[in-house]
Amino acid sequence: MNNPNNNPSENESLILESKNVSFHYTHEKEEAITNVSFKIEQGDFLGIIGPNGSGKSTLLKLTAGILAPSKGKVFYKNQPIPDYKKKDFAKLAAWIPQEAGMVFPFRTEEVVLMGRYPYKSGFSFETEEDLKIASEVMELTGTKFLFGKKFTEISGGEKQRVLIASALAQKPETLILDEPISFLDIKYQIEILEILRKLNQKHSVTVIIALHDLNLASKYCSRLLLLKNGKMVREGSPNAILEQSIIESVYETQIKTLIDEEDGSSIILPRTKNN
Amino acid sequence: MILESTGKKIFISLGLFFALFLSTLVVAPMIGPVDIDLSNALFGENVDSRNVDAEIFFLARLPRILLAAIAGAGLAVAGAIFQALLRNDLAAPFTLGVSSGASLGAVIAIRFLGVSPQGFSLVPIAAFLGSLLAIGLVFGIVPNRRGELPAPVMILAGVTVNFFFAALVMFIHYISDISQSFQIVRWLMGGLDVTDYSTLLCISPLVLIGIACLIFFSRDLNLLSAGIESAQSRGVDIILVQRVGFICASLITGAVVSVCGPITFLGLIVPHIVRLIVGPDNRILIPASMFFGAAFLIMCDTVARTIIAPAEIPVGIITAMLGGPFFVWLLRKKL
Ligand SMILES: Nc1ncnc2c1ncn2[C@@H]1O[C@H](COP(=O)(O)OP(=O)(O)OP(=O)(O)O)[C@@H](O)[C@H]1O
Ligand SMILES: [Mg+2]
Repeated sequence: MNNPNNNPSENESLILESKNVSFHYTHEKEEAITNVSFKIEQGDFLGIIGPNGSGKSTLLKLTAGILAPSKGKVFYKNQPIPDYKKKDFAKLAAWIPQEAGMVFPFRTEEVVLMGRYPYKSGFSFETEEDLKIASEVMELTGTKFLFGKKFTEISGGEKQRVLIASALAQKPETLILDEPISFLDIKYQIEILEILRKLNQKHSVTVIIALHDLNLASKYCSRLLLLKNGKMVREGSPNAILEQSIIESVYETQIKTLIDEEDGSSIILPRTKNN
Repeated sequence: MILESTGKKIFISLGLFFALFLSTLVVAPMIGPVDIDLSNALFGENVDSRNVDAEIFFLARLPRILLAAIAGAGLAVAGAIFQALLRNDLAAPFTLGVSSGASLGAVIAIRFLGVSPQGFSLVPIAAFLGSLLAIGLVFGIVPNRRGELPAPVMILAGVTVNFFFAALVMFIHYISDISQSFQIVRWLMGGLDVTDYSTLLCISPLVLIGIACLIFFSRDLNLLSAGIESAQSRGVDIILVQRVGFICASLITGAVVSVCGPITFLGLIVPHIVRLIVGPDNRILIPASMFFGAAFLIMCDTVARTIIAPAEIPVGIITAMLGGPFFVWLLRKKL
């Protein structure tokens, strides 16, 4: 952000740029996203936070090219997303849904192998390389033990990890995740976030993630984008965003902000009504 | 953990279904009210310039069995496709109103155009036009501005078209005379008894090309059946795949129904049974459903031809009698 070069077409590290993006669901009265602009540089770990219904999922779908903005444009590496071939874009950016309403009993490894779709064409079967990659990402996400199980018959947290494995099988340079840890216990929350941090730091994968847990967002994200009613309230470092007054007004809740002495990150504590 | 390519599994499972299909295809022509001598039918000499065995084999039984194979294959594949596209395992080839459209066409032809017992019949043509009308209506009602086909709206539109056309069919049935009424009822039961090679030649290309096209898109259908937005984010051209899928499956259904009438339940149960055995991967599910659907309808038709011989039962009754209990079992298993 403190890059002096303001011309996006000459900025090498710019991954994604949202320019005055608005989005309107058909038949809805209000816009779900209103005039949101932001930039994501390579290697960012951007957290999107905001109350329920503030537009996090909608914004992620816009950045993943699933929804097309009603106004404004989303650029990926200075090129509007619709200008990419669908499969080419899927090799660059992978999206993980908030929930996968899967009806049919695909096995977990079949779900992971679906991530190889953009690399295939027509009627074909998996190659040795596809199987090797699927095996690696299942190892990485700790889902190998789910091999052979039906996706419809595993727990919510296991599903989320399989979906992450499936997105990793796409070998993307950008991961777009919609509340990937909402069903996980604290161990797996940390484990998934550590995996993402490792991908981010070692393999310079750019991460865009919607999170509800403000404390985890504070610890893992390099930047936060705060939404309310479809509008961007503020964007910046976690400590700048998680200020007591901002969070209290956006979430309409009494909180207090502490500082974790170990890493200097902000911690949000709720204040209960009777004290 | 051994990750295996689906390619290896497909030959084993498909081989089994193909073997089943082949054996019904060989055995069924042998079964019937009259015993025939196959070697005489194939290689025998004419007696008084006739070969009765050959006549029964080639003119009475074989075209009918081949029609059963084509119809069964078509309905089963169409069922599998509608289930995948609508992400609903209770969808069937008739969910979107294709069969009620065909029925309406057939009933109009029987009531108003008159059908001579011999010679050229307008009923299949009218039925096919009716099925196209139903498809056209559903596709006219549903797509939104971006050309998307949301599954719940498709189902609602299909159910509406079904009810509306069923009411029209009842109305026309009500104003028909006794002999027309009998033909209408008979048509609505579905059967394979009006077969010659020319009907077979009319519908086979449509059904087989449709199935080939759907197999080509089976990987895309897998992703679509797992979730529309995930499919989109992985680069599936969802609008193209949905269009190809719905149009092929509807045309296959329309072609089959216009000749055989609404043969119920087969399109629901066959993909279900096959999915229980081979899983939901459409690359296997579609061809396996094709073979199993063909085998299943050949078997049902053999029962229909023989159980009260020399009279016959419409095959739609047999498939529904087998399908009904299965449906109940399925529903109870889901609860
Ligand atoms: N498919 C849809 N059709 C119409 N309106 C929608 C649709 N999806 C979301 N909305 C509306 O758009 C707004 C933003 O929803 P969105 O799902 O983006 O919020 P969110 O921040 O992800 O919420 P949550 O924290 O509950 O996941 C909400 O008002 C919601 O009601
Ligand atoms: Mg959401």
